[in-house]
Amino acid sequence: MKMLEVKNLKVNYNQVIAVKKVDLYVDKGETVALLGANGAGKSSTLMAIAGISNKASGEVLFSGKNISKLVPEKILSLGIATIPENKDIFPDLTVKENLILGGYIHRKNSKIVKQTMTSIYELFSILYERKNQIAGTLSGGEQQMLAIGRALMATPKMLLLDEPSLGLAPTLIEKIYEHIEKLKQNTDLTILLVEQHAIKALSIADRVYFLRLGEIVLSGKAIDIKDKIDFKKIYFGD
Amino acid sequence: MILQFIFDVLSLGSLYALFALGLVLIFGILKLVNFAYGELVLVFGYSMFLLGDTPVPWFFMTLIAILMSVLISISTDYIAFRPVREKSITAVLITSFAFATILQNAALLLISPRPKNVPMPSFFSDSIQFLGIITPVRNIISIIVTFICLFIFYQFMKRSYIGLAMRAAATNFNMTRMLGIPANLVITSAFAISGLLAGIGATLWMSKLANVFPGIGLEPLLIAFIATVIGGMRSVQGAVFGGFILAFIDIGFNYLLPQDILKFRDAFTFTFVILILLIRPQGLIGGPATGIRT
Repeated sequence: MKMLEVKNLKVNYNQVIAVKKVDLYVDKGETVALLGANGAGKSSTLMAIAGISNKASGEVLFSGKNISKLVPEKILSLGIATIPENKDIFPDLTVKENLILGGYIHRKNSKIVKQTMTSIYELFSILYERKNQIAGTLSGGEQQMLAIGRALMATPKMLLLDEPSLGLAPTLIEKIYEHIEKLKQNTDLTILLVEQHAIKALSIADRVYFLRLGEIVLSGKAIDIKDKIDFKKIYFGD
Repeated sequence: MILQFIFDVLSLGSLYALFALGLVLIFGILKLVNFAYGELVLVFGYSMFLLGDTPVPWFFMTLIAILMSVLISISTDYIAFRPVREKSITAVLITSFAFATILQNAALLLISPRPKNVPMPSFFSDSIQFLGIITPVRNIISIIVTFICLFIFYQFMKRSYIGLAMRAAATNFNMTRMLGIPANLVITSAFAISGLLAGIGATLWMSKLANVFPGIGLEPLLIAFIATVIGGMRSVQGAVFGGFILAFIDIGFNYLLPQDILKFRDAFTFTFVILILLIRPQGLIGGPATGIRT
């Protein structure tokens, strides 16, 4: 069953065309990776789905409902949580306050907020240890965990994850991906993952799309693509 | 002498801090200065004047007048900000100036260009003496009211969802929205609280002045603006701190300058402010680094 479907998406910032034409879909429970070089239009695609870019045209369907004209807060309440590429945690707020805000849509049901927070602390025990620390003082890896935890606080059906490996040391990338893997196994969360780090993304994705200069140039099952792919061609062209 | 000086700085600074807080709250979230902010004092003053002839007790009169400035503050958002918010900074600057001008001219045409009396309880001006300090009662009330307000404000920003959301929105508005927090709710709440602070500040301001005139909003706006610039436009603590620093400079010159130069005090104050900004252009207390307008 298709959970998310993007049809003929275009995004341009004034004169610059960031996304020329993107068609993709994500099935329920699937992890799909959107790969490509810097400036290929991956993040623009993701932000357009999240409702942040108001310069986008085309259709975005979520569970069959057109969400392309909705504001970001509405899109979240339908069940799509976004983790932007620079993590965008709130640096002046404590770890706990960041999580509380993540659970804003459940604010009337403190039981859900408490339960979800407990399960996030179980997933990322470091966040529990640092719950009263100002978020801006966390390390890059911890901030990424906080960003993921905060998104999970909304108990989303789908996660839009933008470059979780960005700016992290290799060992930390390993760790973050372990967590995403764990998340994938323990929940029925649908994930659309944007990554430059193609090898890492291929290791956890079910299907992948390759984006180059705002267009999808290749797509298929991760296992099929893994060994055959000519990365040089995808990233740098002919 | 020293005690008297400290007390004077505290009482004036607390008023400045209240005004600054109301202005920086909006700036934090929208990255825009609300130039119609001073007019909230005008709205408060004329509400008090109009209620002055009615048998309403003073306390309720004040509550109604504060409520009026809250309502006008919220309508600033609806009339001047919301329609053009997404367009350009210049547009919002102009609409907020225009809104201020309309309010001033309404007062001028509909009421009078001359100062009008604002009812204030007489005990406000009674002098009392303690620890060698001589001061009118209103200065003590000023300090107490401000510290209560700051305490409540702090608790609100720390504990309530909407307070947390406002702090979050001040660093990254788009991210706040991606967590499902409605943008308009955050902005309207900020305007409401800004109006409340301006209304309470106006009560204390009027307790000294005891009259209202069409141009009354300029000085509180200027005070709030300068205090936030000194303290740092991006942080709430900075605004409060800036308020006290500005009062310190003002009162300091009051004590230091000879009588015949005293009327040029503001020139000295502003020179000092320029010096501060030359040394620390980001304000004395820097805020979060992400000040991009969204």
